[in-house]
Amino acid sequence: MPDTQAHQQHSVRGGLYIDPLPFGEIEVAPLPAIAHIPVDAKSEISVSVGDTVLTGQPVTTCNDQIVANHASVSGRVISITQNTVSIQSDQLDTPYLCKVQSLHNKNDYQQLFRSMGLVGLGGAAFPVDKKLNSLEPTTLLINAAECDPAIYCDEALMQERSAKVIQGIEIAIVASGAKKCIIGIEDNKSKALEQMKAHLPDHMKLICVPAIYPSGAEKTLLRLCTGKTGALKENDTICFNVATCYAMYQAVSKSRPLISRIVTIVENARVRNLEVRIGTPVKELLTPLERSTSVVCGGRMMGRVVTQDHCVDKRTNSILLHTDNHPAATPCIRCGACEEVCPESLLPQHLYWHATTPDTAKLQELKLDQCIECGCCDAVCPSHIPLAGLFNSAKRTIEKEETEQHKAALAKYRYEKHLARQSEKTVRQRKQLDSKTEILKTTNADNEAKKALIAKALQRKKNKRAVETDKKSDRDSTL
Amino acid sequence: MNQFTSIQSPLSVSQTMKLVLLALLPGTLVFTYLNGWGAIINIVLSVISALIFEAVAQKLRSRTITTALSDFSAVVTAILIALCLPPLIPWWIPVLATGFSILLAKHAFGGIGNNIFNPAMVGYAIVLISFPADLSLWLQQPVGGSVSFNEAIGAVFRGGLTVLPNWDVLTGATALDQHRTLVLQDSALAEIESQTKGLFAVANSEWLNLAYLVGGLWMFKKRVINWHIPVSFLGTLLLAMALHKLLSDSPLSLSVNLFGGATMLGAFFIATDPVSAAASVRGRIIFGAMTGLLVYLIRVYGAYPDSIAFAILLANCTVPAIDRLDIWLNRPGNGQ
Repeated sequence: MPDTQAHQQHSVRGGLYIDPLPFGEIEVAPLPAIAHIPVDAKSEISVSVGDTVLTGQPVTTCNDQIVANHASVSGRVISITQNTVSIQSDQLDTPYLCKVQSLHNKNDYQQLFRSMGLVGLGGAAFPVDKKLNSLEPTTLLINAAECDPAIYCDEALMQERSAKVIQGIEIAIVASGAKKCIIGIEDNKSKALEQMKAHLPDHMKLICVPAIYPSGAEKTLLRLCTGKTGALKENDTICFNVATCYAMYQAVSKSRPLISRIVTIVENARVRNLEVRIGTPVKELLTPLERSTSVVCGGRMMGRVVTQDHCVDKRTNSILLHTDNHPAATPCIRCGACEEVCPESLLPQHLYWHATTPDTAKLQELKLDQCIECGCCDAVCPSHIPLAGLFNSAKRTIEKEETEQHKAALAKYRYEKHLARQSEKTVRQRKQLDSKTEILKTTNADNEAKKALIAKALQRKKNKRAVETDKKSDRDSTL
Repeated sequence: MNQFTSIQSPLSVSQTMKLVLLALLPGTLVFTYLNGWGAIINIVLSVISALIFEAVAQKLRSRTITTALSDFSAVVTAILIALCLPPLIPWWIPVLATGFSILLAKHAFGGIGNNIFNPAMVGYAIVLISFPADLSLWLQQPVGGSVSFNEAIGAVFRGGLTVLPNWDVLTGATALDQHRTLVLQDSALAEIESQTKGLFAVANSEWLNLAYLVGGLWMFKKRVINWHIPVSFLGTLLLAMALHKLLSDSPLSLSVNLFGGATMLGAFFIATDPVSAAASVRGRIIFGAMTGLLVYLIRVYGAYPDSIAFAILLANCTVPAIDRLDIWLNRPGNGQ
């Protein structure tokens, strides 16, 4: 047996351990009555109201910035807004036949992934082709650690469909051109680990990482698996989530675009993993909601509250419910609990102090840009201060400041150039004038040279006037 | 039905303060046993006046009064002050001490979270400097209990211990006082030790310090405090004494240093106040060491027998510098 499973030798400080909840098999959610396909406001919609569409038929076109979106059910387009295409399902789920593309090189893969609507399914929904295009990686890191302690969709996927996931990873290796492939999996997912090991080929390396949040953050995972610090790009590494690899398998082997994803639903401490069509209203997946219940998408730690009318999109990895009872923030007592859990070894208590102003220089010294906004500090703060949110807004403020500074610097540079040109021009004119005066002084009135100069000047004047009248008559005629 | 409850939720400030009060219970009981009714009167006076001052301060700052009173931090401050004061002092001394502590040290700086000095120690230090005569008169321990309640109340509200007819018989030196007097008389250390010896360390105050130690360890177990400050505080205190003994001869014995005065109260309950201590883990270790060193230096070379209050206030002054130093030395975010 080759060394396919090594226990991790690298550790990361901080983080939180949270007991996982039990969950069952992946269930297939019923087709929605109306699917509201989210589309990018900038993308070009290729269907119109009243059209009949089939499952998997593209509803938007793709380009190198935006991936395509597809009808997730078959039926009739009933409305189109800037952000959604709503399709009334005929409940027949008739598939649309995509034409099979031949794959020869990296570009073909990127083109295919773009037309199949593939984005990262870990939560950020970054287009796969854009990620592949951004660098020539040496290492492919597969994120098989769940990104949040309340999300189980990747674990369920690996338990039930590991062979297809592995095939998807093979495709990712070819598409990225990486020489090395590492799979990082959390050590409490024993069943998933077993399944993955059973299908693991020799050239992939499976590494167990501790099941401590945020092991599934790509920066943290890279450090846990390889000991390398810093951003992925700096380490020539590209990272894909297992669900993304599964989608690659579906796209390449089955010619099936991304029209469904697995969503973890946590309701009354009951965990379900549902395979849901994109565009399904969240309400259809839950028991009737009370008004006061908040719907949180994206996990317990980094999730954001959405409206009860939210529809599943490509980034919806989980749906949690909670009644809003977050206690009000009280002053920071500098207890340092946040420092102990910070996986990036930052000092959140100092960051907080400077983020309220915000003091850009101090925040840069304290490495605010390294904050991954995992929310560990929020979870342990005895004063209930929403630290990660504050850090996020401080980052936005600094970004804005920097763009403005950059703009101002550019304007200043242009103005200085303009001034320099002006003064140069003045000097040049002065020189010309001086030389002319010189000639006038040194020569007689009837001198040939002088006469020639005068004639030249008159001619110039005449030409100029002619041009001006031309222009004027042009303007008049257009008016 | 809250999905967020499975994360062990952190202790809120008011929960923390309640646990601190519980942890202070054994020490308070021993303190009361040693000092009698006077101790109880001090505690009651301090707590009532602290609550009133807190309410007044909140009102002046246009804040809600109830939330501030319900976080118990004023009560903890008041009890810490009362545990520093000798019994049977005039009633206005504890009131004044809590007044300075709550109004000046805490609210004038912006309330909880913004005070740069430990409030309890500010209050105590101000009355210690202002009324040295009153604050150095301790009852003989543990016969402090032999003063009846009526006598105690009378003394407190009519000008202090000295109004009692037999007051000079009742007073006695604390362990550190006695130790200091003997040292000033150039007695041999062995002789001093034999005179002040209790069951395992120094008479009487050994039990008080043991009770604080028990409460402190319980707080550690309950994760109310971290080990950093108490360990570096006590460690440095011992290290300073060991070095001193090696180089010349320390006038303090190990038992007095660890179980005399307010060592354990300072190490576990006072220096561990997070607001006025350094903010980071490394910073807190430096802060604890700084306090321990200052305690030792003031005990040996200073004019006051005990030194916890001054040591902590001086160390509080160094906190901004420690924080800067920590950031400068250990650049944050280096992934280690």
